[in-house]
Amino acid sequence: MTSETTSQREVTVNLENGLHMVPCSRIAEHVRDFVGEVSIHVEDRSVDAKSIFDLLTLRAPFGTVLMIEAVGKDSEDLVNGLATLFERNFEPE
Amino acid sequence: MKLAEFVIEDAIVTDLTANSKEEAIRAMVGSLCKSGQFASENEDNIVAAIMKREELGSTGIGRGIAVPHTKHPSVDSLVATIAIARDGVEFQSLDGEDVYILFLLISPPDRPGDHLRGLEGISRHLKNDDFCNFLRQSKTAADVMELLREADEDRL
Repeated sequence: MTSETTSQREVTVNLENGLHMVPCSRIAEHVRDFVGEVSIHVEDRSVDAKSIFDLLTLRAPFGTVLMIEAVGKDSEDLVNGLATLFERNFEPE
Repeated sequence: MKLAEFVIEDAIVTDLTANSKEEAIRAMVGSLCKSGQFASENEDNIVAAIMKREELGSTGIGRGIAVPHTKHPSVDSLVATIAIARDGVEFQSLDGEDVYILFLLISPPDRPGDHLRGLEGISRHLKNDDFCNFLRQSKTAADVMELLREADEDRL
């Protein structure tokens, strides 16, 4: 039996230019194959992390605190992976 | 940020034909230059900067849309133009499809917030299928500007 879980994690945008198109593409790519829903919340707004068009509407400059939420199997691994992208400032490993 | 505030009407190209990504970008930068947004001596340098940005990952973000962009000190506020390519342009897009709608942005290096607000404004409307369909049907720059104003005022 597979269990649907909800996982959340707070991250901070540490990119000097904010969450521009390159990091948005990396996020969409990272979550593309996840079976379930992934959303990113900032203040009263929320976007679908699988859609680059949605992500680009986040308008998150340097220092913005975002909440990542994933619902589905292995949701914790997914949010941790996304948090690592933010911590590495979207640089390759 | 309202689209009609930073899209330059005189630089809009409604009949772009280009055999490559670079040709498309060169035509759009050339059109912005002709409309007086920066001196022609900067044209090659801006094209090179946009192509360099494309190396980080294509700005062909799917749904037949590309948003090539760069920062450049030759502009003192965010400027953009739109091109419509009826036959499509191969752009190494994320979804592998040709692009038909191109938004090209140039922003001053010290204004990252304006760039993000510009991207937000563009993306918000490009999510709307009606906006994309009407844009692709636009025959003149004036048609495009009218559509942008309607979108800005949420009249679509």
